[in-house]
Amino acid sequence: MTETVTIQMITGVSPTYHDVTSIRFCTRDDYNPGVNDPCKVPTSSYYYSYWVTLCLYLTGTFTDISNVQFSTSGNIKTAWGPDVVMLIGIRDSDDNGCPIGSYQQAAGTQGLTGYYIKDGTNGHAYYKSQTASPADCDNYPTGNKLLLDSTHYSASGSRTKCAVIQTRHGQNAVHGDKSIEYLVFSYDVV
Amino acid sequence: MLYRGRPVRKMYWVVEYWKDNKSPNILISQVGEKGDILQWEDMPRPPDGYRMASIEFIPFTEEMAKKVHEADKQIACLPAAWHRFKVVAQPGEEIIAKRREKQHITKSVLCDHCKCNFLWFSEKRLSNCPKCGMGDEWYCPECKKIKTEIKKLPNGEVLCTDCETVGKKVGLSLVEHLTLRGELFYTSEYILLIKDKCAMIVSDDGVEMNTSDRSIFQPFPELNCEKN
Repeated sequence: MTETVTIQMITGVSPTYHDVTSIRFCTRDDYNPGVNDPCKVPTSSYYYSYWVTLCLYLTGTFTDISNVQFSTSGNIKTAWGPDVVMLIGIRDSDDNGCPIGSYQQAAGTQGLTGYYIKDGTNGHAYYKSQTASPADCDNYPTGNKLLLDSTHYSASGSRTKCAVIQTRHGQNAVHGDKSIEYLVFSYDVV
Repeated sequence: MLYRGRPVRKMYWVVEYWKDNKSPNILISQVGEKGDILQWEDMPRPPDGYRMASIEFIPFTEEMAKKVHEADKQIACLPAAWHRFKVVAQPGEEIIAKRREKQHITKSVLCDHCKCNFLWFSEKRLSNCPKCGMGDEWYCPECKKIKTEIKKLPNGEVLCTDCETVGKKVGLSLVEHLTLRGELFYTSEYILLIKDKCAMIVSDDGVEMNTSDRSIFQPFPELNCEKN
């Protein structure tokens, strides 16, 4: 046996875990939204996607899995054009991932906008009181990965801390499909 | 290098237990004779008087790669034309071998005609398969066949010209042969670590050393050059 590491998206109140191989940002709490409830361009200020919560599900045989990190191409804004950015929730210190126990269902006005992760009222409880604001995912290319979880896991069936990401769209955003961007989760296996 | 489906292992570790700080006496390989993989935590402890003095990453040969896969179909291995890499620790130092696995969440395009499956990052929809040239087609439900002659109206409607000649207005259905699908891609790095001191990271991209003291890394004998 070897280790099997699956990327899961968490939805619902309960919560529910879904194995995913891709995600689509939208304005509903759904791991597979198709083209329903797409992100909208506002006439002023910002609209957001519902936030997406992603963790790693660890099964199989391994001695230790640790050092879970997140990175992107670092080039998403360029690819997506003006006024569109992918954000990730970060903490003032220590690990930036959200523990499973602090998971919070994505919410907002379905079909229009999600709540901003740092919204003082409706934001994500694990991030909204931090001094640090959600960061531009372009800040984390391969050479500068974001530490999500430094915990050492040795038990099959464990889930790591989560990346909580969303998109933000300003009034100058261009309507239409955006290019496919890749997200990378890395982790050390002993 | 990105791999589909699962992580692909290119190297395995061999640990050396030394006695009295001298040359290696006991070698323990991650891969057993039958291709079974030894977990780090299951490694036998050094006998009295011995210590774990070095770890080496060795590329799989084709024969070993097959043997490991035969022993556990979940594990994919590939032989690699890489050097061996070894780190040697001083007494009291802790050394460890790790793999750093990376999972890339992205999408790929599948051509249902030739089954070609490839990465595509543009926001524009690909019009033709780069391998077989297949593109979108139009199907007439009346003629019950794919039509090459079509008529596009300003409102976006697409009509069958054959049906039009006999006085029928029949809209055509779009048949998409290139479809996007979510897919994970995998890459692996191999890390030799002296705890709290330094790390050596080996990957398809090359070798990275995170240390100020390179003397701790012993080059493979063939690479050992004498000073002129």
